[in-house]
Formats: sequence, C-alpha cells, structure tokens
Amino acid sequence: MHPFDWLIIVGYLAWVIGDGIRRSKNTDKVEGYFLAGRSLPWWAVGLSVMATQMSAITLVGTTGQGYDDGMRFVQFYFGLPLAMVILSVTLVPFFYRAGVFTAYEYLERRFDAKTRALASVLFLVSRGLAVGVVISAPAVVLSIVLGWNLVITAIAIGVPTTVYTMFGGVQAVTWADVKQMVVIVGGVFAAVVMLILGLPEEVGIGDALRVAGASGRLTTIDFSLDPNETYTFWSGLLGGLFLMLGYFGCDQSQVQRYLTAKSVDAGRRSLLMSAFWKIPLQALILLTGVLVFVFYLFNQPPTLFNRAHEDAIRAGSHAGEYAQIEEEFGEAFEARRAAASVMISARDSGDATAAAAARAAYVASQDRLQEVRLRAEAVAAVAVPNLDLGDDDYNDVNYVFPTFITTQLPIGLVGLLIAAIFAAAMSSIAAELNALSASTVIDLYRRHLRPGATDRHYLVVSKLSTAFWGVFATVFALYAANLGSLIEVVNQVGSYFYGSLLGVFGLAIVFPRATGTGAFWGLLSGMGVVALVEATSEISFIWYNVIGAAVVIVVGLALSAVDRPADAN
Amino acid sequence: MSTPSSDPSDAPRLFDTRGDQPLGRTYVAVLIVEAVTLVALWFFSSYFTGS
Repeated sequence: MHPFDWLIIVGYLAWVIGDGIRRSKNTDKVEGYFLAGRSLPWWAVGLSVMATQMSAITLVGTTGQGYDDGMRFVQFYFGLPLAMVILSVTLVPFFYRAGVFTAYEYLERRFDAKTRALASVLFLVSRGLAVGVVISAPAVVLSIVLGWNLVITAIAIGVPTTVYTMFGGVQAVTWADVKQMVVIVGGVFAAVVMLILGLPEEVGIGDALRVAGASGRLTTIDFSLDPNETYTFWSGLLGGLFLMLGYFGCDQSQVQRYLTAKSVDAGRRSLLMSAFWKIPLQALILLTGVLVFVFYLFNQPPTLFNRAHEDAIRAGSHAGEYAQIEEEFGEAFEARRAAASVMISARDSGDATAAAAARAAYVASQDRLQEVRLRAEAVAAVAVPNLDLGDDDYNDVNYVFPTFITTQLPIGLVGLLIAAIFAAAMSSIAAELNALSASTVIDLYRRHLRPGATDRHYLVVSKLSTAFWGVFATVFALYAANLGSLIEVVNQVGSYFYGSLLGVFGLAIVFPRATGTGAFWGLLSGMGVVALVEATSEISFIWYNVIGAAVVIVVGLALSAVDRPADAN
Repeated sequence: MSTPSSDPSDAPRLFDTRGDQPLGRTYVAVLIVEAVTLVALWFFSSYFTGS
C-alpha cells in the first residue's frame, strides 16, 4: 500500500481517538457517560443509530453478497421502516419517560429482578460474542488482502475503539459515529463512481446493468412463500419486522442511542432517519457489489478471492489439480467476456432473435464459469489447512470488495476505502462496548454486587467495564475467523434471542396480567424453542424472531394465569 | 437514576402522548416512501432483468 494511503488511515485513526479523548471532559457523571445527559440532537443520534447498525460486515459482506448473489438481500430490510414507526409510537417514549439507563432496567420495575438479570445476561453473552465477530470480520479480511498480521490488525481496530469509548463515553461514540458515517457513505459513493468510470468505453451503465440482470443479480423482490428461503418479500417484511423490533427495541446497543436524545421527539426522529434511508442505502451497497461483478466481467478476477487460501492450495498436494482449474477458469472467463460483449452488441442491433440467442449464450457462459469456480471452492474446502467449515460450504465473498479496492483503485481512494472499513467496524464496536458496559454496571454491578456506592465509583467501574469488554472482544475476534458469510453469522446470533426478548417486553407492556414467573420461564422457553427449531428444521433464521416472540408470549401468559392467584395475595 | 418498584402502575403507559409533537404526517411519509422505494426496486429489477 502506498504511503499516502497509510497517511489517510493513520490520520483517520488519530482524528477519531483525539476527538474521543477531548470529549471525555464532558463525562464526569454516570448519566453523562452513558446517556450524554440526554442532550444530543436528533440528527446526530440518527446517524449514530445507522452507524451502529452498519458494521464493517455491512460493507465487506454485503458488497460480497451483491457480487455473488445479487440484490435479493435488500429484502431483509423491508420490515425496518414499519418497525421504526411502531417503536416511535410505543417503546421510544415508553423507555424515555421511564427514565431508565437500560432497557432491562424496566423489566425489574414491571416483573422482578431475576427477569431483568436474565435479559441482561442474554444481551451480554450474545452481544459480547457478536462484537468479537464485528472486529474479526474486517481484521481477517484486511490481514489477508493487505498481507497484514491478523493479531495486529484486530488490535488496530479494537484498541483505538476501546480507548475513545472508555474515555469519552457515549458522547465520543455518537460524534465519532457522525464522522464515520460521512467516511463510509463518501467511500461507497467514490467506489461506485470508480466502478462506473472503469467500464470499457463501449459498455454503458445501462448495458452493464442488463448484463448483471441477465445473470439474476438485479432481482430485488421475490414473493416466494417458502419458509426455508431466507431472503423473500414476506420473510423480510414479517420476519424482518420482528428482527428489527427486537434489535431496535430490546438491544441495549440501539436503545441507548435514542435515550441520549434531548427529547422524546428527538429520539423518535433519530429512528425515523433510518426508516427513510436504510433501504436506499442498503440497495446502494448491494448495487456496488453488483457493479464489482460487472467490472470483473471485463477484467479477469482471481479464481478465489482469498489470496492466502490460493497460496496454501498452490503449496500443497492439490497444486496440480488447482492449476488445471485455474487454466479452465481463465478460458471460461474469456468465453464469458466475449459472450457479454456479443449480448450487448446484439441488443444494440435491434434484432430480437439475435439478442435472445446472445443472452442465452451469455447465461450459459456464466454458468460454466460458476461451475469452474465451485470446483475451485471444493478444492479449497479440502486443501486449505485448519479450515473448519462445519456444515457450511466454502465461500470467499467477504474478500471480493477488499480485493477490488486494493488491486483496482488509485492511490488515495485505497486509503479512503480502507478507512471506511475501519470506520464501519469502529462505529458498531464503540456503541456495543458502551452498551455492554452500561448493562454490566447498571443491571448487574450496581443492582447486585455493589448497591449504594457513589456516582464517581460507578463512573470508574463503567470505564473499567468498557476496557474489559474491549479486551474481551478483541481477543475473541482472533478466534472468530472462518465462520462462513460473516453477515449471516451476526444476524443469526441476533435472531436466537431478539425474538424472545421482544416477547418478554411485549408481555411487560401489552399484557398487564403477565407475572414475573411467566415472563422468566417464557423467556427461557422462547430461547429453547428457537434452539430446537434451529436444530431440527430448515426454516430460515429470519423466522426465529417471530417464533421466539410468539412462544414467550404464549408460555408467559399461560404460566401467569397459573401464577396469578399466588401473586394476588 | 430510576428506583425499582414492584407496582406495575408505576410504569409509563404504552401509548403516552403527553407533550409530544404530532408526528402522524411523518409516519405516513415513511410508509409512502417505503412503498415508492419497493415499487422503484421492482421496476428497476424488471427493466434490467427482462430480455
């Protein structure tokens, strides 16, 4: 990488850390540290909400999905605007007026201490692991693509984030998020412009999109009712609605964002920013991946995007077989490039019959290239040492966009895009560390271990807790590599518990007769049934949220009906 | 800081609109923008995917 690109990355890191430490002067109380004294403007909180949800996995994994699978993934977010409206009407004013630091604090007011502690521990375990994955995603990819040491890369992401979050609290997190969103969106737009400029002279943007469309990569809406299909209109609208209600309504890393707003209306408006912009932004990121696919229609891509795996195969006993596959891949690429050019020319000629034949030939050439690539992936699955795939197929989609950045973009833009990947990772990690610390201190330490201490004591413990979670996440990140498509892993982790948490908050708020015993066992039952469904069926993970919420409410109400006579005494 | 209480009546109400600015038009705008976005995505997909 060119020194100028290094300068951009180092400058970005220094800017974020320096500004975070500068803001530590305004956080001398626990309420200031975790809630910014409820003083932040709606637009800053709104950008922080979006930055928290958009991790490096969004940039790296989603562009990879756009390249490999097209734009179908955009359906995953169809329930988000509806969820934001529902939360703006219900939970945002509800939490804000309850005067709580954490969402789980309310569960003790409504039910009992054990339900609050269980919800808090579930959040700490799942989010603590997830933040490790959020660090490992860019660390693994950048270390391989740029040839950096994995441990140093993980530390370069985890330590600066921990430092500014620890000293600056939620003020630093939020204002860093604002800057990071500018870097991320600017980086994506720069990549799109470069991709369009990088098309061959005879290929217009319309031609490029038609070629991508012919290979199925521009399919955005699928009305299939198959529950085993993850990305459909219905799973996105209904399953996604429950997932987003759970994530934005019950996950402390998001609840804490809008609790920092200076009024209820500011909190609402901060969420509604995502309602307006999330789907278009996600579509743009997926389209970036599709444009990378188009770029590699006319410029030969590597057979596998994971350079380290290619090197390992070439150095092992499968080297001969892989060399043969690479040769076939080169021939298949040339055939596809020619077929794509013929398809564009045939369409321009106006001859419908010739255009249809050329399109069919192009689709066949794409299938042939894909068949060769699958053979290469099959070799990688057996030839790469220490590759623990479990039940998953080999995939290298997370390496597509970083490979494009580092091999095709000019000096300066490489640094900007790498900084954007850092920014995306750090914005999510910082908010999650701050939320993990809040739940640890407010829900567990202050409630069970050391009640009645001074505010200064809790502030010191809060900073130490932030440091602990930062170190834990960074260390865990080193073990979280090779987990398949990382964006799905994180979404799956969330789906195991978001639905059940949503169910217990539903019991608390909508059903006055629900009791603490019903809520506690209902929550455990919801988690148990989701685990059972995951183990015994092929139902897509996006439906786990609906199942978990429904089980918690049904079991919770049933047990409450039995429990109520004793409660009434 | 909040004080734990076992009385559910202490809890704020779910649909509590005291002192709120009316955001009804914004909510309708969200739904209209989503509908328009989905229709636009469908047209985009159909236009470039069809032969």
